[in-house]
Amino acid sequence: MTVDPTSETPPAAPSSPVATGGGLATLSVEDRPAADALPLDQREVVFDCEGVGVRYDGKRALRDVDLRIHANAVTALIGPSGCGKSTFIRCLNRMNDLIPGASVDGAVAYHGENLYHPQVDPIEVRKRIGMVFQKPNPFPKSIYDNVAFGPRVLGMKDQLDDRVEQALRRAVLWDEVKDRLKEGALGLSGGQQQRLCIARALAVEPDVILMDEPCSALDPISTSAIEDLMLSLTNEYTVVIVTHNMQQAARVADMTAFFSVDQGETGARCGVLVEVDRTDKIFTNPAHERTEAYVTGRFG
Amino acid sequence: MREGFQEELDALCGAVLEEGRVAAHAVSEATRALVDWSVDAFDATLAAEADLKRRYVETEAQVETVLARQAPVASDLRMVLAVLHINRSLERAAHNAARVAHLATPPPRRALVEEAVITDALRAMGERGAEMLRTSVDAFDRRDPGADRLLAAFDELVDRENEKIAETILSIDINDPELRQWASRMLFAGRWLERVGDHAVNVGERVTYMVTGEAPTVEHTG
Repeated sequence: MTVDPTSETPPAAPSSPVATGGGLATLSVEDRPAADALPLDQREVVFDCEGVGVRYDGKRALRDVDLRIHANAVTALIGPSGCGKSTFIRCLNRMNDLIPGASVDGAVAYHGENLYHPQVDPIEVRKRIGMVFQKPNPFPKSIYDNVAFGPRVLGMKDQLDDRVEQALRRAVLWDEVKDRLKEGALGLSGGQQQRLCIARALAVEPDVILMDEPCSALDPISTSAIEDLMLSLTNEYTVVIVTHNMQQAARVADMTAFFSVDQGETGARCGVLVEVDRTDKIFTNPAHERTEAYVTGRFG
Repeated sequence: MREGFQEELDALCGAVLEEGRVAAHAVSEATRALVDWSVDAFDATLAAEADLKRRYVETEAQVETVLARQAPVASDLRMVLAVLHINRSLERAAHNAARVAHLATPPPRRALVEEAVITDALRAMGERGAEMLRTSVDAFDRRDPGADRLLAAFDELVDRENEKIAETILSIDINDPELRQWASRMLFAGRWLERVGDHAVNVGERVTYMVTGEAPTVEHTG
């Protein structure tokens, strides 16, 4: 399968599962199985990626990624700069669609549905699969309006106050901001802003939270708060995190995927997935020498 | 590549090799003190034990520092954990050597055949135990994951010598108080030398874990 996300997305057909809300994951928070109810490898597969690759302007940046991401777990993507881990995580909610010249090949199944099917609405995808970025990026609006933004845009306006409160509670920010919801979000600390961005993602009731280096701009205390939050989120959500901080991966992730860079005969560099396994295995006895060399600091 | 970290790991390796040498020396000297009643050997054993206790504390502090400051992972983590255990095993081996040396006493003045059997068995156990310690730290140095099996086979031989001592002591007339006292001391000496073999096996198993990541069996106590 080859999908060019830069091509115009066809309008959803009347029978489109997404158009009716039936094609992508429809489990409500209440319906989802409790975290740790099953061993990791027996939990539902949220993403099943086969042979996933990405090209930018025809130049290959990532190739042949086979990876399964299980529900109610934190999966960390680690690897040296340029290995394609951020490129890969953006494949999981079609963020690469927004990059001119980007094309994705291979198959990304989300709860068994082809995420890149022409009838799948990328906006719906990003509602179900939220994303938090390296630098906190709150809107220059009030704390309340930041969290309420997504629900308003998506027409989820019923019981908006409750929705905002629940999102802030889940992001472990409620107690710190409940008395100043109308104040500007830019007045929050960096760590609070990042938790606000997480609350903003949670407010639209996603199934998955993708985090691209969410703590790299934060101090250790704020980092600790976000890491605690990630762990608590797995009760209800599936979390995928890109991190340069290997100790962070070791602390928070159930599964860790190590990406690296291959250099072709022409000298072109391309990201590849080297190994994915339980985090304790990756950090005590990885199967591949390249993983060993990276996690021990001898490469990368 | 973190050069400072690598230097710290190399220092830990060097410490283990040195501790292995001292522990083997302690066991050899303790055996000589036991069967030859050598005062020099007795002193040398206690000096070696004291030396190893000092090294043990230093190595443990080094391990603590490496864990705290370098957060080792993968093969580095396994190596540091192996050092932590091996450090303890070698210190215990030297401590058992000191226990053996303290049991040294001439047998009652009788030319009992059994005395020769017991003494020969203790000498064999001591020499074997020292050799096992050298083999185990050599395996650590060479990262040899197969030495644990060789050491387990050697340990069987040590155990057999120990059983021979016990059987011999049971067979002799110990109504004589002097003979009874000597026999009990030799029984204990055999037990402590048997434990030296166990510690060498523990070291070998930790080396296997360090190289392969396979969890070691339940620690041989002693």
